[in-house]
Amino acid sequence: MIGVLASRLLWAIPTMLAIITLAFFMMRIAPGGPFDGERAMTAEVKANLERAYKLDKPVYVQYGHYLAGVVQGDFGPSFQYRDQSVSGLIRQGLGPSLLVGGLAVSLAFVMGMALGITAATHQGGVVDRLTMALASLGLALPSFVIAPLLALAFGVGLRLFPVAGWGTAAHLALPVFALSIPYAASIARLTRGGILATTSAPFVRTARAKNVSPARILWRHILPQAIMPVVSYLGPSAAGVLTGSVVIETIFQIPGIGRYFVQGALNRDFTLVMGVVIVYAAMIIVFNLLVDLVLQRLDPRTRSTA
Amino acid sequence: MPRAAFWIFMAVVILCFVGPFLLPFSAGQMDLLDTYAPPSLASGHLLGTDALGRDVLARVLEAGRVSLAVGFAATLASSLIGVFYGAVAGYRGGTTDQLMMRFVDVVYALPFMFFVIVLMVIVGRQVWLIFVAIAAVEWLTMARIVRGQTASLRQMDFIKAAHAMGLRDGVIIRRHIVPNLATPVVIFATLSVPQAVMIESFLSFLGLGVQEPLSSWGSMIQQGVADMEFAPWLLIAPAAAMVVTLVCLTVLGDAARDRLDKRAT
Amino acid sequence: MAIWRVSLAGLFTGSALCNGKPMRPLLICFAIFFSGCGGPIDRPAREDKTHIVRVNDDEVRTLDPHKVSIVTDGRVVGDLFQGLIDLDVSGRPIPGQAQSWSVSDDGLTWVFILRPDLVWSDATPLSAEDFVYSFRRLVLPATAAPYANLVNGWVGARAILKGEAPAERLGVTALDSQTLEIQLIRPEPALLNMLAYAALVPVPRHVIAKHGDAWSRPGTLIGNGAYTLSSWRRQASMEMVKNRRFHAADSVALDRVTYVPISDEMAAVRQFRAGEVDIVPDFPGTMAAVLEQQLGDQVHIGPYLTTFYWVFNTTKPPFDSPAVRRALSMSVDREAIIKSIMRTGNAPAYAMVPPDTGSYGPAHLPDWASWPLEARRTEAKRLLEAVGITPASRLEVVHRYNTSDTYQRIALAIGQMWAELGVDLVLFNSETAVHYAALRSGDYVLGRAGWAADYAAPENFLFVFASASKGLNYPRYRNPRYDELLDAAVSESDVPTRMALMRQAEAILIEDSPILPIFYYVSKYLVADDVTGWSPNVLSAHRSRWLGFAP
Repeated sequence: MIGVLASRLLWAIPTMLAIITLAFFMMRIAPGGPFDGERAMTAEVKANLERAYKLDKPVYVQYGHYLAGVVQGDFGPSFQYRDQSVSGLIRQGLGPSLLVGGLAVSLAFVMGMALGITAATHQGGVVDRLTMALASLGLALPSFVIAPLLALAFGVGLRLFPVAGWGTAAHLALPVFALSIPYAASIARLTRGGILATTSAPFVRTARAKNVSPARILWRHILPQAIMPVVSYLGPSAAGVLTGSVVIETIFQIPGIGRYFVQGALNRDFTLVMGVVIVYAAMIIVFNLLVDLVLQRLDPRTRSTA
Repeated sequence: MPRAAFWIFMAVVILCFVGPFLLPFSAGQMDLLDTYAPPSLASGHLLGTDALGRDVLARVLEAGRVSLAVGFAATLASSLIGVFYGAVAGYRGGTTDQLMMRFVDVVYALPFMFFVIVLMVIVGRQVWLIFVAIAAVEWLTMARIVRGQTASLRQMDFIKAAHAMGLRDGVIIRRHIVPNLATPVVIFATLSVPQAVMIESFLSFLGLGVQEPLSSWGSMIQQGVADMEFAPWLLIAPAAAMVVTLVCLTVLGDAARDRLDKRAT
Repeated sequence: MAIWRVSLAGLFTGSALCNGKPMRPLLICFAIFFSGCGGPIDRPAREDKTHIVRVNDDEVRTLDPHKVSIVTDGRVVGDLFQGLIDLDVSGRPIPGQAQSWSVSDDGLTWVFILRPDLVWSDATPLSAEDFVYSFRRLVLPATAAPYANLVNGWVGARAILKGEAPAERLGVTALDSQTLEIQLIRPEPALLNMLAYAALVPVPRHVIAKHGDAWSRPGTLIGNGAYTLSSWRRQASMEMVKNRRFHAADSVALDRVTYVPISDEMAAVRQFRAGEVDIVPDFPGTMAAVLEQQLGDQVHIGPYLTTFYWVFNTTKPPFDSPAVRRALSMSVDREAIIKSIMRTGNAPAYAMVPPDTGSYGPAHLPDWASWPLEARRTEAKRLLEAVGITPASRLEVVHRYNTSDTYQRIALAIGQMWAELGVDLVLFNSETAVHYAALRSGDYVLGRAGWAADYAAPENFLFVFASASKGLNYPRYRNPRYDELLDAAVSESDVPTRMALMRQAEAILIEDSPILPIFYYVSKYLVADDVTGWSPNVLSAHRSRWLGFAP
């Protein structure tokens, strides 16, 4: 296991380097720069600005500077939010994104598993059909439709929760729920599929023959196997959820990093986008590693040899 | 249930591709004097009109063509790429496999949005670019699945026999490995189509989806959300169309999996 | 309206329950029922009457007044800083840090007397030297101030901006600690309006000396306005408290002001309806009717000094022909666009300068503006046929615009209007940065643009099309007669003559039609009905110092 960890972490470095390089040069190829706004500046002013942000140097020089900075933890200044550093912006925004994302993933896991188990245990019946229909619905409706509807219904109409904003626990309710829906739906489907696939496996038949109680079979024998596809799915998805969903953060005005990324790319805030890309890539690598470790633990075939 | 889903889906496809020819209004016909008209049998606008007075029913059907095309074309492209990439990697094994999969890891770690946005920006907002962008993301998972399958297939006797007979690698991959990948590929592909359509709708939310005069269900929904409080039919019509189609596809995909997996085990 | 909502909802609920998919239709029913069945909404009133929550349309990018380039930032700067001149509730210039002023007969020298005992919010005294320092910093190339060109008419400014002269050459002098003299190279009757602008407020020399460019961060920011910054939670909220040291602190009613950045307009509207915010600076025009039903006179729609117009690239055929451009401009049915797409009662634009910009008077109208639409179309057809553009031999034109549903609809509508003349419009959209970069570099034939007044004076609109205006003159319009008239106008200190000269210049501009003006903007605000001190104004300037709550 240490070997796996070590080799993965070692691979992470060239991976990150490749990602940074790719992202850096892609952004530079795109037409338009950070200082081309609706409000035109005179040529002198624009030149001054570009000089201040070192945009007048050749691209590979900028690249070198940027890499040197990253290694020291300095992601550079933001181009659109003047006087702010990217690391400062990310530090402030990461908390809310992580909180909303973390709660959403947890809620999705619980809801999804509950729905999936219910469906699998009542396979073929009305409950199964209804639950799976709900799940398909959750996957087929885009989140930018569900979120405003929830805000209207529960925020404006029923006045149960704040419509948008940040500050109290109540502000978390709607965004977390809205964010969790598509993931819960996927998890429900994966869980149900996983349980049904495992139910016919030989070791389960053995357990049944040994007269082990159905509940115990479910929880101790089937689920650990059935969860495996859920875990593989959760890994990369979690990284995406935790780095903030653009849709949810925009509609509920969460001060997270999800929006930085889209706004940054559209406004050509090179450094901010790069900063978010690095955070996202790091998360994916970490989560993929975690997923592999958990899968190793769960899979009884590998457990005995570990 | 799968049978009902199949027929509903076929009905949707037929309606989208044939329907517009049967309607009195064309999707692009604007009428600035009759904007935001609610659905009414009398006016002939069965689903009402939109912000520019265009018939919503005609628009939903024509948008369906685009959404379905995007979904299927992107999935087809991603499947083709993913299958061959994964097959080669899984079959070759060793360092080739390692390198190829590391490349997949790197691309996986790139935020999809970033890639698409920058791509859209460099090349411009064109429809074929949306196919490419979606395909570029979906092929990764397909490649991984296929590689896993190929790696286990490679150990099987009939492949070893083919190798011993002196068949070239390319032939072995094409003739013996790929056909045996059918099951997981078909299952994943069927379930990818809804995903592709959803990704396109997300791109529309960002303003990067299909551009006028083309429209997709995603772009209609995105505009419908903005007007939903006083013109809900603008949201309900495309949303219902998309939901019905995607749910049918998902049901079909599940049925395919249940059927094909049973055969495999 | 209510009946068909109910039946629609019932229909959906019924069909939904039948096929086991209840969630979405029910949600929509909720929305339809609870969001506003067309009737007035009862918005909860604020309990703490000394605290107001205002929405800002985006996150503030910088609070350094010299670096501000967007309305979002300017709004906040207007509360934290005060220049020589301030704006009252109607957007008119009033004494700010200066209590009085005088101007020489030739209009080239202005003297401002500051109020006595002015201080920054940290009690450091504020004198005329601070103003000198601030204006110099504005034009310093190293500051890279986007609005440095506002002071192009001040002695020495141009040379300093080009880097050809040191900042000390700027024509501002502190005659003594309370007297400031500004020297101009040409008369500027609108100087007072200009001085109220965000870029021209004083900046704290003592703080900048200590912290450099980081001075404008929370914790170190010091201002001289009615409020001081107490906290800034990025993307979440910006808190300000009353500045006790502000010279007019007694007249400031609110103790606390919170700005929340909300970029999604509908999210802001929902928050307003839920009583979570008190002022919303924009909402989708298509919602105007619904919001007026739900919120009554809390909806404020009024004229705004901004013009929406399309630009022709006059260097690319066939748009090098004024007749072609005029024909296309004539054939646009502006009223239809305003009525069906904008839906907020905007005034149609046939010229660049909006009505009542300063002392300009009514907007200019070309002679054909009064013709009926059919007559205009016929004339347009004739002009286009003369250059060979007919329904049979068609012209394809690519129209560039920055991403927006509204701009897209306008383009589609105009496309339909031109289709019958033989012109086919192809739409091409890109995000703002790319769009304006393309307009600036001339990589377009027909594009969309907008121009918002920095201060209420017609030259602020007209100088855009002077030959010397390189970055902003997207059509690349060059007419020496236009330049002459404009130069004469800005050198003229007698206001009526000045206006007359500008009208002549604009008449030439519109005759040549390098632009296709479509409508004048309106400002759209939602203001809670218990807010006092609110007055609509064409600059959309609403300083928090004038606001309060009715008891």
